[in-house]
Amino acid sequence: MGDALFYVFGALMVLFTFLTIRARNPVYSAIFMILSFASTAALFVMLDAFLLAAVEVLVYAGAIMVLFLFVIMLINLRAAEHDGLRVSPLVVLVALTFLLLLGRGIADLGPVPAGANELVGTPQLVAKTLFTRYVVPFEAVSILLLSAILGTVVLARRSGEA
Amino acid sequence: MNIDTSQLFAIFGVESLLGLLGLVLIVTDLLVGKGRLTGPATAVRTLAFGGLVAIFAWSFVLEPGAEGALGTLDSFALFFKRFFLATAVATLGVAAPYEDRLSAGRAEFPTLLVFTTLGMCLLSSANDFVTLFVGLELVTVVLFLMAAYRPQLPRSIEAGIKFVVIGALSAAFMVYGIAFVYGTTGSFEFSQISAVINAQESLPAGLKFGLLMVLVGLGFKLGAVPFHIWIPDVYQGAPTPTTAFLSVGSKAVGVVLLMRLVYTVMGPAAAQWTTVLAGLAALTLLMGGLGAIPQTELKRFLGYSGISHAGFLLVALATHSEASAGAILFYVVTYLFANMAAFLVIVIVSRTDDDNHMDRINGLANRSPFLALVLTTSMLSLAGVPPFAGFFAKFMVLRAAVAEPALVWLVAFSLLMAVTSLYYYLCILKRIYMRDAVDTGFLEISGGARLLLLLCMLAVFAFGIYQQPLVQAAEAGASSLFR
Amino acid sequence: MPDQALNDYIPILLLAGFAVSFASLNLIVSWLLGKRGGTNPDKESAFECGMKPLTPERRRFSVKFYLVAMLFILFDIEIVFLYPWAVTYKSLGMFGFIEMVLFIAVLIIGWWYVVAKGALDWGPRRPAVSVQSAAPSEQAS
Repeated sequence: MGDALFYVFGALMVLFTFLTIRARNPVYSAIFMILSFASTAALFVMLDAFLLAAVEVLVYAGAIMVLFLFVIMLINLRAAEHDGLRVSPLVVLVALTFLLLLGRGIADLGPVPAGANELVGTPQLVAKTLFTRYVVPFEAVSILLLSAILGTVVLARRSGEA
Repeated sequence: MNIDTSQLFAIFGVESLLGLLGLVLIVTDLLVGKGRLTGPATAVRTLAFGGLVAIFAWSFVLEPGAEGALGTLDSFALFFKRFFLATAVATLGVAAPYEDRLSAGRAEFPTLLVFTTLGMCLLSSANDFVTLFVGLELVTVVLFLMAAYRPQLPRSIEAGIKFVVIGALSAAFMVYGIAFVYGTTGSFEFSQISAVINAQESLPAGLKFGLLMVLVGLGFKLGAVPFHIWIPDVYQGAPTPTTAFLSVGSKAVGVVLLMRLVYTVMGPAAAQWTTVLAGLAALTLLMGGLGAIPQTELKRFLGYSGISHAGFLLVALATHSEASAGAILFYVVTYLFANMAAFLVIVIVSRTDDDNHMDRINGLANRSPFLALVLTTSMLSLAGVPPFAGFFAKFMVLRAAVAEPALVWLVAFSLLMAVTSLYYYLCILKRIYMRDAVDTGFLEISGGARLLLLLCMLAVFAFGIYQQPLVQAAEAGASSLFR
Repeated sequence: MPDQALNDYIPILLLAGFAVSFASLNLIVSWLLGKRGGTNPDKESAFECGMKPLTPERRRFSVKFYLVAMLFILFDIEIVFLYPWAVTYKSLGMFGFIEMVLFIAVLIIGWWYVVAKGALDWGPRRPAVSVQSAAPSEQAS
């Protein structure tokens, strides 16, 4: 059952990602991307990484996609200006090389290191490491968000009103 | 896991103070500067300057050695914290005469600068890949903003967008690599990863791939060929103070992390990477050396000059010895002074941001002998001409590299490229002394700018003639990496 | 992952299946039952019995929409961190509490900044307070 679901969601993810880059209308691309994110979230759930699944839906499928749609509308991209998928041989070559390297890398990853197989993705476990071992990066994230807020306001207000 | 709070502040004291300073700056801006454009900017800048200088001074009270599970404050980290604080102070100095050109966001500029500096200091103490990544993002995200800081200028926007795309790409490489390292070692901690690496005869392909991706991500920060493509355009388009900060800060961030990874995490196993690093170094030297020749804009020119300096840093990195690590630390400090002086001169001679064509410095010797002298010193130091600090930095790098028989070809090549680069630095000098001025307007140099220029010039002189104190500090910093 | 845990998700799966089949069923039924005539340019236009649109239907949106979206993301990410913290805050104790207070305090300053600079003001511009600078100004809030 678990394996079957993995293949179902994995296939859906690949399909939607393909449709994302294939769609001619950028808004459709964005919608397909949401679906692809949702399938990814389902895969995370199957790995017991519940927090990641929730973040995937909350941040990516929710907030980031809103931004994507706004940007598409802001720059007023029209379907006609977008030629869909144009594949140059060089891109295919690079992608295939990368795939080969990746396959080779995965093939001799070696034994799964100790600790990697345990349950690590539940909110409780993530919280335990995040709020103790990684307290410094956690606080740094708040500074990062604050700088982003500052920058957004400075840049957007000036370009919007100049 | 219990956290020792006092130890936490002992290690991350500088970062905590910088965070506090940044918040105080924002609050000052909001409270003092309601509705006024220029008032709070001066207040905020003064406050930022005072705060940064105070933290810089305080960092000399700190004792290296505090080591905890969460981070390290070895003398290497402390050396770079001081370095980043000094860079931030100098950048504020470069930004002061530039401020009138910013139509808005003047008060935010110092604040953002403080926050990037925080990220840089955090990176120098990082002990694990999580802190490394968060710190790196803090640094780069703020640098994106600072590059696009004048959205009225198409070039500034162009610089911002190019920087964002390249920055996102390098972050993607980085995270991808970190995932592989975690997948093969089961840990984010440098010490544990190092233990895994050095326990094995040959590394599993996944781990090699992961480390390679991390190196690629850092190569972008350092500006090593072939990850240098963003440098000329971003340097040219970004506001000059941002470029000054970027040229020194971003490079040093790459250096700090590469040193930590190559010398400490990989340890003896890094010997397998010598060829890769040496190859990168040779390519970078070639690109920096030849790319600078046709340039006609000062900031682009300094961008290529920065690439060739990245090449020298990579030569030192390829040499796996304590002497070469010390040479790197010495090198970045001399680069800081020479570069900051050059950028401040650019700010003064270029009326608007777009105009940093080399014509601007034609006949500078007649218009302002002081600026001409400063720029000459800085160029000669960057070129590595004897009495100046830059010469000694290059000398230290090459002396360390020549000790390794496998790298003799690289030393020869570096020497060749150093001589080539002399040509274009001399072209600049020719413009300063032998051409007639195109622009004859009055050059206004404020007292603060004069002081900073004088300081940089003196440092370049002093460290060229009497290197001992800096060499000792650099060696102390370097040795803590090898323990 | 044990199959037992997966069984908890069967209702969700059923719901998802129901949603998909309901939507497709509606489309199919309307396709089967609806009357299909030929198309002509008027039928395809946005307002079938109104004026011909004079401008492209999609206009450029104000940058303010983008600003709101961006700020939404940033604060959304803040909320994401609250979620694991809320689940475990009892076991994290005082340290965890102070940690989160610091985190939120930093972002509250950010929120204050956004409000004070008028980034979320959508109303008409108030006349500028100072006229000394021709540049677009923050006091336009």
